[in-house]
Amino acid sequence: MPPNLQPVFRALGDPTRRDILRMLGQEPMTIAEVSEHFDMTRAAVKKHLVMLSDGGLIDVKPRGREKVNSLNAAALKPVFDWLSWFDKFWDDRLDALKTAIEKDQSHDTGRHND
Amino acid sequence: MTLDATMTELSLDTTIRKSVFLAAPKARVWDFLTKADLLGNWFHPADADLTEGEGYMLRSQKDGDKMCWGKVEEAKPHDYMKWTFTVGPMEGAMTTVEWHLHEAPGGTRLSLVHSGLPKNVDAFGLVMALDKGWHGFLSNLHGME
Repeated sequence: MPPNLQPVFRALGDPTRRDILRMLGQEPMTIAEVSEHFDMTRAAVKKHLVMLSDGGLIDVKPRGREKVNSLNAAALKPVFDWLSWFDKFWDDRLDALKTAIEKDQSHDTGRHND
Repeated sequence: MTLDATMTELSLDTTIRKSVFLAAPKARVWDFLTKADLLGNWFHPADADLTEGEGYMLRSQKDGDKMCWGKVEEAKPHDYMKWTFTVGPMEGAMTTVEWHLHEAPGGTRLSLVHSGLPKNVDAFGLVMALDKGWHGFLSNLHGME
């Protein structure tokens, strides 16, 4: 499992991006081709594609002077595996809480307890 | 783990239980669970301090995007709190998160119980599966390691 699934969740959190992803699941497309399907500027589409790419959900490959975006379906698997995802999610959060509290306590007392 | 193995496991129990020892008194741990700014130190900052009977919203520090939200169903200060809980891609499907705080030598034992996660992988993806076009992806996923 990737170390951090937050980018995948963020990428999938938006309905437009899910629509784009579904289209790319049918066929790889350039930014221009994706833009034709939406009432959005090319820059806006590009922003969505960057977020999808950050989430590992699409692969971007050069084709001549263009870049072709295609779905990376493997990245979707952990998203459907909520239990594993949340298991890791809470491990990460509780670790962060432990760290935050240790920092907080050492500030309070002027010394570290460990 | 294969997806099939995951599904078998999930059909048995979908409750997540975690426990952590924290070197701080219960009251301080409680603050970290309920105060808007302190939540930002380890989770995401909340729009407001968490209060029993009220909704809550945790947002990305980076751009203010909605990350996790729900309602504080029960709050017994310093001992117990119960949230409904969801994240963006669950599209409103609510789960339950319970926090238990116990006094322990030198600090607090904090336990988390996350329940109400759907029973199998297809149900997990249900919202998306109902959404046009996800069926193909889901069946592809079954063949994946």
